[in-house]
Amino acid sequence: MNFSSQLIEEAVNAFSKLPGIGKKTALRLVMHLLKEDKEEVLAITGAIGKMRSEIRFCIHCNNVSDHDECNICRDAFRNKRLLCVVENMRDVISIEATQQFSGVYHVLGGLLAPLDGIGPDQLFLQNLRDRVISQEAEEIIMALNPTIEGDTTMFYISKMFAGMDIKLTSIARGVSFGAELEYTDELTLARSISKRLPIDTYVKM
Amino acid sequence: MSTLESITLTQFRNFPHARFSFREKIVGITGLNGIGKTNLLDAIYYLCFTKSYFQSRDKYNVQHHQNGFRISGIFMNGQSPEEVTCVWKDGKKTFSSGKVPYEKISEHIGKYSAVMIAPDDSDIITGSGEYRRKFFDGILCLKEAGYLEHLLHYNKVLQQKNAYLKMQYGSAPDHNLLNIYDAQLAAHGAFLIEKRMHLTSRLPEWVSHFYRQVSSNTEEAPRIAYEPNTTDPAASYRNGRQRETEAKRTLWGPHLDDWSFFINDSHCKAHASQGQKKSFLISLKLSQIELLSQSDIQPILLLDDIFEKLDPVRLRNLFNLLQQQRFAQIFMTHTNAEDIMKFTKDIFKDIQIEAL
Ligand SMILES: Nc1ncnc2c1ncn2[C@@H]1O[C@H](COP(=O)(O)OP(=O)(O)OP(=O)(O)O)[C@@H](O)[C@H]1O
Ligand SMILES: [Mg+2]
Ligand SMILES: [Zn+2]
Repeated sequence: MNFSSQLIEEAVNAFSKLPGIGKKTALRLVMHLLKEDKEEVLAITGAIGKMRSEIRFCIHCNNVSDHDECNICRDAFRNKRLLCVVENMRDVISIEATQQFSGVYHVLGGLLAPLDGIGPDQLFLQNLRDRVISQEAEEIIMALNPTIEGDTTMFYISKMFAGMDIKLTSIARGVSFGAELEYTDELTLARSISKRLPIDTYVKM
Repeated sequence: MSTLESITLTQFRNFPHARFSFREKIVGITGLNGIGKTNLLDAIYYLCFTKSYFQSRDKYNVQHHQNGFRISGIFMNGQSPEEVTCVWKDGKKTFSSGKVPYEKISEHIGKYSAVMIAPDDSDIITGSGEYRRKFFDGILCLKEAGYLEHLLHYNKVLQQKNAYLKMQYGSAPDHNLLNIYDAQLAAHGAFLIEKRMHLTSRLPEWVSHFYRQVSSNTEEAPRIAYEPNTTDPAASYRNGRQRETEAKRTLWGPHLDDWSFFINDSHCKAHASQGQKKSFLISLKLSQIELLSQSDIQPILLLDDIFEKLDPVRLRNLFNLLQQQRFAQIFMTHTNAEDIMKFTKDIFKDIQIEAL
């Protein structure tokens, strides 16, 4: 594409770095913003910039947060002895939507997949053991996708607690093979959280 | 029984436009080098399986400087004809039966069956272990329920484990993680090894049966040995951790299995003559057909350059053998029409020569 303005070109290039957005869509968005009031546009860019520079990750659970501690971890009514391990914040949103879970989360920030450069050191795992001990956790629910990477991560975490007196369970993974948590509807998810199974059902080792 | 009655090629490889009618059960396709004999055989294969035997990328099937190709054929199922058409244009492929396109192209697969035996297949005998694994896995995926799933799982876990071994970790690898990968590899691997052993115990009987007939030589006894890289993957991983972390890759498991083919006690790959290798290959392929044959579908046999490397005695034996097998139709390519007639006319009743 050939632009008569360097400014437009830079904005188009910036948009097209976003996932799912090609040069054409980027141009459409830029043309739309050109028509808007300046204040309106600055409000949008302001929100994006503020989000990125001020966002924190909860020191306990690694979920996104406005403070050092997230709203869920700060909530006195949540059961701290029940931990749900998930891959990312999207899973937290899906599970919260079911209103079936009253415990707290632990957001790994990925699944074990060395092919994608994710080994144990790249996951938010360092404090999981301490958390389990200090919160006197009784049960860890793994709500991970039923893929090879999800399985590996689940086995790995259950090995971390081998010999400890803690119940390890997994959400009922009737979730069909390859189906991702985010695509599972709320009803199925609600059912699979209330009907969780001991990990040994899955770990054939 | 289904036979191919005619085929029309448009902008397929070296054919701008050509139509061929097949009246007989045995069709010899003749002509000079590079005239398009193999291309015609491949077009027949294509109509049966919706893909080429030789080319994995469809754009290479398109005639140079064109943007699409078309293959259309009429199969006779007893008395009723079915017209099958494939059109590939600008990267999009449609398959239709009659004039009705299939919703999913895969719906067509299984209606007609063909088996190709081509010179490049000799890689199974002389090439690296990869070709033999592909040959045996191909049979097992069709024959053993669950084999394909175990194989896919095994390969995915293997890739993750190898990636981890290559990754920058601290002073020592995470043994917990490697234990998990090894346990998964061992579980899937044990299944693969067991099925491969089972197949290898059944196949030689057929291979000997066919080899004897082709060679008419009772002195030459073919033999197949399965050489699993390990029969106890769990133990290999347990004892070999140090070596794997040094090598930064997985050193044990069925992805490294191989097979050896022997005639009497000498290794085919190293010692067999060209004609003996070819006889072995044909016996392997015919055994594959025997193992996979479903009683209701008789395959079309596609023999590319079958006269190459076989002596007159073996050629005769082979055609006698093929005459007893249940093939719907046999297409064979050769440069010379007289040779085909000389070897086949008193074995098969009806032979058609299609000179390109
Ligand atoms: N996409 C294509 N477009 C045009 N020509 C092609 C294409 N692909 C292959 N060819 C040509 O087809 C010819 C090869 O045809 P083919 O392999 O069928 O020959 P053959 O008759 O089997 O020869 P041989 O006797 O040597 O085996 C070559 O001349 C090659 O250049
Ligand atoms: Mg050829
Ligand atoms: Zn938190």
